[in-house]
Amino acid sequence: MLFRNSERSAPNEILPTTPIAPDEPIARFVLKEDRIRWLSDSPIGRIREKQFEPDKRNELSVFRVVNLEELSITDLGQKAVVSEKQPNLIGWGQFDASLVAQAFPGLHLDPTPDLDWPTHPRHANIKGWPNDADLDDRKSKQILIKQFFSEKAQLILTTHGKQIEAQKKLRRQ
Amino acid sequence: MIATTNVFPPYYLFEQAGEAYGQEARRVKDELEKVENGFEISVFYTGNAQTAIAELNALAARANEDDWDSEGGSKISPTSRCLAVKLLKKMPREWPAPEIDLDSDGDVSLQWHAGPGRRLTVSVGTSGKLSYAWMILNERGGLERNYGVAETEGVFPTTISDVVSKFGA
Repeated sequence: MLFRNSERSAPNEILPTTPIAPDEPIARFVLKEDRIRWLSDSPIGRIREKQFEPDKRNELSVFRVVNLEELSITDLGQKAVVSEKQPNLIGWGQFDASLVAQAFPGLHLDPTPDLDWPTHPRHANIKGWPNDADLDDRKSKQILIKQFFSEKAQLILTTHGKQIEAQKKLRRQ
Repeated sequence: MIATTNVFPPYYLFEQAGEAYGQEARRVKDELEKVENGFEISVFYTGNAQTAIAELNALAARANEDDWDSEGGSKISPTSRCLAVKLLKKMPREWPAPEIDLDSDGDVSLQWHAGPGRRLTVSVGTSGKLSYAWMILNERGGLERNYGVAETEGVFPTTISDVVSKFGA
C-alpha cells in the first residue's frame, strides 16, 4: 500500500464513487526530468507527449486533485507515486476533467479502484484509448491524444522541479 | 575544407544488428552501415538534421536495453532508427530540428512544436510506415487536429510536409 492512513481522513475527502465534475482538476504526476521540455525563452517548460502515453493495459494513471492546494498535491504525489526506482517528484500536468472526452471519442475517466490502486480514493484511470488491431492506426490515434494532453496540461513544478529549472537556466547563461 | 564528424557510436550499431541472425539482421546491418557512411559525408549539409540526428544518437545510447526508462519501455528499434536517420537526412533545410523521443515499443518519434497549438508528431514504424498526428490553432481560436498513417520511401510524404508548411517554418 503506497499511501498512508492520514490521506484517508484528509478534509474534502474524495471517494471513488464521487462523480467527476467536468471542471474537476486532474493531475498527471511527472517523475522524470526528461519528460519536461525545459524552454530557454519561457519561465517554465512544457510536458512532453511521452508523459501521456498509456501503459501496457492501455490506461493512463491520473489523480483527482479537487480541493487540494499545491503543497497537498505534492504530498499526494510523494505518497502515492514516488518509488525507489523513481524517487523524485518533479511536478505534474493539470487539466480539467472535461478535456478527457474532448481528446478523443470514447476516452473517459474511470475512478473505479483497480488492482494497482485498490483503495486510493483520488486515483483514476483514463480509459477507452484506441485499440485498433492495426498497430500503425492505433499509434496515430494515440499520438493525437498525447499531443492534446501535452498541449492543454498546465505544468506545475514542485520545489524540486523548480530547483532543476533554476539549474538549467544557470547552465544556459 | 569540409570536415567530417562521426557522431555515431559505431560499435553500438553493430552490436545492435549482431543480436539477430539471418537475412533481416543482415539487411538492417547493411542499412546502418550505409547510414553511418552517408552521415559522415552529409553532416554539414543541413544543420537542423545534424542536430536531430545527434539527439537521436544520444537517446539511442541510453535506450540500448529493454526497460531503459524504468517503465518497461523497449530498447530502440534499429529498423526504426535507421529509417528515422534516412528521413532526417532528406529533411528540407528550412525545417526546424524535431525533438526526438521513443515510443514504449522502441519506435522513434519525431516531434515538431512550432508554438502554442502547432504540433506535428511522426512515429517511425518498423513496418516502414509513418503514424502521425498534428494540431494547428486556427484563426478563430479553434484547434484543428488530424491523424493518419503514411507510406514512405525514405522521405517525408506530402501529407506530412504540408503540415510543416502550414507552420510557416
